[in-house]
Amino acid sequence: MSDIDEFQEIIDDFIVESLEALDQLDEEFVRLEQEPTSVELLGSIFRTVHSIKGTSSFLDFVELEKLAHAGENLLSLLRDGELGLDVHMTTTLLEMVDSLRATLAAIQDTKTDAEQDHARLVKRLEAHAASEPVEEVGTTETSADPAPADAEPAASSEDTPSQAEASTGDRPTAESSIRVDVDLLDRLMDLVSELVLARNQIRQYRIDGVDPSYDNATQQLDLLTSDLQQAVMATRMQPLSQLFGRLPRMVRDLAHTCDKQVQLQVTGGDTELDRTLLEAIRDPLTHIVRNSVDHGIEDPAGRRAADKPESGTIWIDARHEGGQVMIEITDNGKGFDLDRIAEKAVAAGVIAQDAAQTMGTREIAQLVFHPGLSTAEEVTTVSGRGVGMDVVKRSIDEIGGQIDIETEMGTGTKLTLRIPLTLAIIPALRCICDDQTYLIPQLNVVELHQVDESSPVELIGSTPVHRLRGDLLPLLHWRDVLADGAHREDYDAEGFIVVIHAHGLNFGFVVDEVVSTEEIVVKPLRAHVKGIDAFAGSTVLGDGSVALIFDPIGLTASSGLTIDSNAEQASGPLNSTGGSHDTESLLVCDVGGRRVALPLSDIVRLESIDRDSLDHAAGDTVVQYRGSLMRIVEPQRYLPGTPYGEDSPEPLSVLVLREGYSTDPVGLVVDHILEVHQANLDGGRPADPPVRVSIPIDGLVTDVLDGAVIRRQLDPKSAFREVAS
Amino acid sequence: MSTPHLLATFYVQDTQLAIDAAAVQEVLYGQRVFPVPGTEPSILGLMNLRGQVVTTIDLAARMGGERTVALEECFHVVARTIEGPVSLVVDNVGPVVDASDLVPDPPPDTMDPRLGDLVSGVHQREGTLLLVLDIEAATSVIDLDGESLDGAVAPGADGIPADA
Repeated sequence: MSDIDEFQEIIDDFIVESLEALDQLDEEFVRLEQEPTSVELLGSIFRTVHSIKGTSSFLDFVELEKLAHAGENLLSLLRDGELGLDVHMTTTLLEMVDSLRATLAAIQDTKTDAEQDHARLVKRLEAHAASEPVEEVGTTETSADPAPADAEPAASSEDTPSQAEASTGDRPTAESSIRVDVDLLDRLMDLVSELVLARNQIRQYRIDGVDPSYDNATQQLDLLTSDLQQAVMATRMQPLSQLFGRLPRMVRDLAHTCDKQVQLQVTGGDTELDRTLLEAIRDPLTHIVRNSVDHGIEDPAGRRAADKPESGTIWIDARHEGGQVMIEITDNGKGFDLDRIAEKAVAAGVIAQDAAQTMGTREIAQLVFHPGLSTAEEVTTVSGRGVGMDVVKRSIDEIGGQIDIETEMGTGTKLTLRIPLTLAIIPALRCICDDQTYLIPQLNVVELHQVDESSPVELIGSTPVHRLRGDLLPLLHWRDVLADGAHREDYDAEGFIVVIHAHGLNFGFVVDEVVSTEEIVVKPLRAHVKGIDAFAGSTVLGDGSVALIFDPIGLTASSGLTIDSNAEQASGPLNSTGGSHDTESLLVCDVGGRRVALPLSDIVRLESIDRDSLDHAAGDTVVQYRGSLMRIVEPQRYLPGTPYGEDSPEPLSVLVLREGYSTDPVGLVVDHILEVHQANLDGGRPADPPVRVSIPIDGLVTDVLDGAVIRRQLDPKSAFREVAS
Repeated sequence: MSTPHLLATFYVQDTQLAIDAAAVQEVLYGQRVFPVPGTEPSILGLMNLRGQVVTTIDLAARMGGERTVALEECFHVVARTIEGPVSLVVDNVGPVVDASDLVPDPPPDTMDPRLGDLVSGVHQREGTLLLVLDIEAATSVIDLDGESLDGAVAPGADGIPADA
């Protein structure tokens, strides 16, 4: 090894160690603000800066040394009690920490610190030290970017186990832990997975009563392998305090920027999570906390007016629960204005007006995850550009986690994240399609149903659906994914429906057989097979065979099931958006020889009704339906110009319309239900009500009806309401 | 590019092909291959190489022909590539050839481009020609043409982040 290599190694070590030390400084400074005279804290901070100064001088990083030197001077005065710490001083010192960090990062990238100029910051540090007036704070090199810490390389991901321990002053912990290359850990995990598989195979060859010592040996191997697997997995686990450690500083800075008073209380930092997942939730968590400070907590005046203490509080609590890590972020701020959210969602075409009326508060709160809905009155520099929460949700979705919001106006907001413990090994449902084994991540599986005569797969045209507790569950057959959807008519009368929840959508995935649940080691897909949406990865099963893992999100995307994947479902699984953007799912029917279509969002259910069961009441045709009377409307009533509907084939195919303001159900009779079709209505030719537009579907002119208009025409009460208003 | 010293040779039907022996991780016979629906036709699927999942490519299909030997009786030449190990399915394996003194000719322009694009040079040996494969070209990622399940091959569509 050459001298240059050795020298580079020294520099690398210096950077990693210094960055770690700086992370700790952030925390110490925030604590220092609470106890500004703590000699112990000041001493510790001084030592850190001092050692950075010493090493940078030795390694000839001039700019770094100058900055650290100025900081050290000020800190030594503070430590010796010659100066008292104030807010401005803390801010300047924190800026110094940021600048040190940025300079270290620059050295890492460019091998030099010559580009870094800290003259103004140095001057301010010196001015503080000399008790001179200091130029206006907040206009320095780094303060414009509130999150320089995020840009820094993930040096802390290989941190010593506990920062909290290390920061108590004495640090003998360093001796009981060593640095290990992350790649080596990954390799170790791979090897253990292979060992587990080999063990599984050997277990199969164990024959009873052959030789007890062989039996004992395999049993021993079995136990040791399991222990080893757990131990290696444990090496990948890291405490959440690694994420939480940065938050106090961030909250402090943000609160200053927003002129608010915010306390942060963190518990459960010792909860451990796989390092990959830890990284994956870093940004979402930061964003959530940032939102809480910026939008959640009111300014002191606002809080006084609301009879709250001037200082707001954000609680972060983490714990293990049911094989998952649960992180709750709660604030006692102003909560969400749900009416405003609903208003904006309607205005943005995300949900329909009448849907907004029927949605529960929880459902409305979930709308903030929709792209393009931001509730801040004004856009601030901190957050509130209308992007963010949807990205947060997507990031959490991607790692198989879940996010939930509870909010109460005036009282506060609670966000709950549920994160799987590890991605490397996940529980998955093993199933068979086309004689091959596939796996579905258990986290996305809601329930299982067997397909049989009493609960068959039914076809709307060529689109399979299943009746699940009165709602229509859209189905995706494995053939749609694996065999190009050919021969849909031949859907087997047997099989299992795996109800999958992904992207806020429930759908049924039809497989031939469900075998078992097992823990699998996820192997990422290589480039050659990576482009296929339907698969998230592969795994090696106990018998040595390779099986593919379905990607629940990819399945929805590859299937045409994307009923606007971002719209959180208001209620039923077939409830699509009421907005007019992009494509809509249309149910195409034949009525008196005319092709008409209704948006699926207007339809709750499809029913088959015998003509014999129809009654007449007050001039209407009605039928007993779910404990009340449903009006049955023949084609000529709702679609002028249609021949009289006596000819409609038995049993009658009835589309039950989504209920509007009045609660009486209405069913439209059609001759045949043909298919479900995705179409863009924007380019259609407008027509007279109740036809919204005419569009070509499969080359045939199809009139798209407006369910709301039909309801109004049929429903004198709502018509009256319209006249009255 | 410097000429490799040792070449590992193998056959697809009567054609003798070779790659740099240093790029060969191992040669296996009669492996079980698990198909991946929706891939382009030359991707035979995945196989389990001691716990590692390796993509298997039908070299005959890449060369524009058809495999004539049953998959269970084929050899797998597992080569190291930028994308990690990839298994090339061939009919048979041949000897390792010392090519230190051989100077390769460029592939003739008239060669079937499907094969020509994979070949970096041709060695003339007594009675036979030895085609040296460009291993990256032979194992490149090919997009699906029109016949995909969903029409679009989105890069990076894997839902679970790469790990383990």
